[in-house]
Amino acid sequence: MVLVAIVVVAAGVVLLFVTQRPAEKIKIEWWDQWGEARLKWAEEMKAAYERAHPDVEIVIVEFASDEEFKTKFESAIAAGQPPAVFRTLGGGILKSYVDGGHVEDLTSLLNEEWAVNQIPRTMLRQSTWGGRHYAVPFDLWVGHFYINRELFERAGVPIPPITTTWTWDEFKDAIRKFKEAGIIPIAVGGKDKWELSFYYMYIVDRLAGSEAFRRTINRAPGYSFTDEHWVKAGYLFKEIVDMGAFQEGFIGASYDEAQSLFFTGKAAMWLQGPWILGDLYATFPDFPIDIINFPTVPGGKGDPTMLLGAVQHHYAIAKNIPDNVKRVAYDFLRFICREENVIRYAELSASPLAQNVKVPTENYSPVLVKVIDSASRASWLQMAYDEYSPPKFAQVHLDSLAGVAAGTTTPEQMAEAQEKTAQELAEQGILPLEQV
Amino acid sequence: MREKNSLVVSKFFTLKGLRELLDSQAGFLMALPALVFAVLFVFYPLAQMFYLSLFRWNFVSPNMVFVGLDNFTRMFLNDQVYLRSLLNVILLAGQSSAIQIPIGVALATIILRYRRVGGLFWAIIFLPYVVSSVAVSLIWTWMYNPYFGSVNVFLRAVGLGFLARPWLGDINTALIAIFGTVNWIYIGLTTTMTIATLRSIPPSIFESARIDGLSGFQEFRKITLPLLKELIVVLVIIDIAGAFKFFDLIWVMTQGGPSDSTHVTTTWLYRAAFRASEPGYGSAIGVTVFIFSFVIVQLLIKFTRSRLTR
Repeated sequence: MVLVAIVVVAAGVVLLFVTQRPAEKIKIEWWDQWGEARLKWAEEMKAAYERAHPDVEIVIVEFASDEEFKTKFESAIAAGQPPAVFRTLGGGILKSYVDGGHVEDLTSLLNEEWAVNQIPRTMLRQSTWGGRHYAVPFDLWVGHFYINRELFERAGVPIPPITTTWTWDEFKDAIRKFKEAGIIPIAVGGKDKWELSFYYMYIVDRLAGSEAFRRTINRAPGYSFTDEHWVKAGYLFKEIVDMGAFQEGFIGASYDEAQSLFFTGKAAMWLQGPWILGDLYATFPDFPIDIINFPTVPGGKGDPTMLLGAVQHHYAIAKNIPDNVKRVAYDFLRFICREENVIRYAELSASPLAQNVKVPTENYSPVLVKVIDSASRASWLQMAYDEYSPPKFAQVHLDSLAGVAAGTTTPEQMAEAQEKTAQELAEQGILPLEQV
Repeated sequence: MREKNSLVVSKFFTLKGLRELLDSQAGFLMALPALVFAVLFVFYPLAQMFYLSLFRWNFVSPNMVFVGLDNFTRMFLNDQVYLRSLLNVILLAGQSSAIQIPIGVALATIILRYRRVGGLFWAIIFLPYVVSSVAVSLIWTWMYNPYFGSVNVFLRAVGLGFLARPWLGDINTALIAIFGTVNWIYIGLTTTMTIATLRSIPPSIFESARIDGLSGFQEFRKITLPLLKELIVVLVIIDIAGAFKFFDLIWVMTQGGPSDSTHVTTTWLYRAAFRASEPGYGSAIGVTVFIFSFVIVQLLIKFTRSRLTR
């Protein structure tokens, strides 16, 4: 009995340390995987907002990786203390938070007049389910082959202009010429499997069109991952693997290792998003950089102006926070969406915007202007499978594709693994994510 | 009864009573802070892991689906990578014992024999162990890189160019490459523990052996080795337990790839729980790891007790 009393007292002491007294200011936690440039923007926003609202404190919380963010965020939800404003990629992961009842429905905010004018409805696709919007999109990424012009000239490979298409045969020709010239045709970080996935996704869209993935994953009748084009995409990918298009040992190489090969002029191409430009200009300001399209494939039905890409950063509000905090969070979202603040965002982050705000082009590098032009011509942006899908499907997709790259999995086995997982998720009610 | 109870309680409100209590419960009271933390951070999470292993859940959904032992049948019947990861744990433990212990013992004997340079040598081989394992992993990742790495450069320089390859980018060599790094880190620890044990042996034993005319090798075989038996058992236990909780190095160097060839149970658990958002399945893997390591270590302890006390 006395012991019980002691334990109770001890527990009380622990609790005393754990629970903090409520602060006088309204605290808005703002979570993101910032990176240096965007963190600067966030600090400017914080300073400006706090100047105008002395009773509010914006707490910027930074994460080093998506993975760290995801783990901490899910712990915070479980502990009942979610951040008021947080970054999301949208897609399958945001959907799981929405289904769990953790995300504020922002439909009314996004239907306010300024938002209707400023935020194109197509940019809400990744964060809208059942007609309800859950996040405010900020910027985009699109995938291109980033190339080293000098190596193209040295190997005698003509550079296909970004406004035109080039064929699979021309692509294979280029690979052969680079190899003859002793240049690695393409650098890829195969350990981070998403880089491999870029190839597969592009080939599928070129083969079967942009609706193929959305319909198949959402279990539209008549669509299956075992359909011919899914297998064929695996074989086309395997074809360039077997040609030696990628560097030696690419299946074990990290993003950093691939980046080194490309930046130091050992590899001619790297299929990436515009985020590489910041690091590139910081270390090699005179790099002969350019972008080209992903090639078309034989017998492909897809529109060649389609690009891999999606909204990269959205902001959302947690549902289970006190009303006074939530009101400020809404107001803060409106504040960071003011035109001058969005322009500042574009200047600092050097990324294409997902909002209708004109940024003076002198603030962008020439290659980035090309990226943005190309994105504006795109008939469709294909969100990355591993971001669109539920996490379990994403892992099966990435792991089996890595197996195809290593030669331990056949494209048929990959197709079957994906179909089996999709069927399981459909039985569990996780798929479909949306009605198609 | 009631009266008696209140009497007992009231007794503690006197100074003498309190003192008696403190005296009689001193051991327990001193252990209490540690116990609170053990319950909060070890026993409770462990119980939670057993509980979660029976569910399908995704961390954030309000509904957890009870699936009974489905996670376990899936693991043993349908999950090739899990079985592969178990095999890799056994290989890791086996090769650690078979390589690190003999080399560690040999190095310790040499260091103790040549004391003047031995100390410096000892410091050098112990160094990798005190460096953060993530830093070590990153360094070795670059050393194994086929384009920039020093491993292949070295092999070509000494005429073993035919062995040069993308070590971590080849499903046949990635695990071997990881083992190489593991041994490089832990041989220093094995050596250090052996030196400490050998130093605690009274030198008179060795002196009398020499007087009796034992050669160096005989001395090692007949005296040093038997005296090290207990240590060797401890090292084997450390290697087995270490293999079951091994994580950071593999996660940084290969993330279990290429093509899932270097997964150990912990990396596969992490991928299941946090990448694929299946904490139930991840917990089930954790349960098996707990059971396997518990049983193996118990068996070893039992075995060594009977052997050592004989």
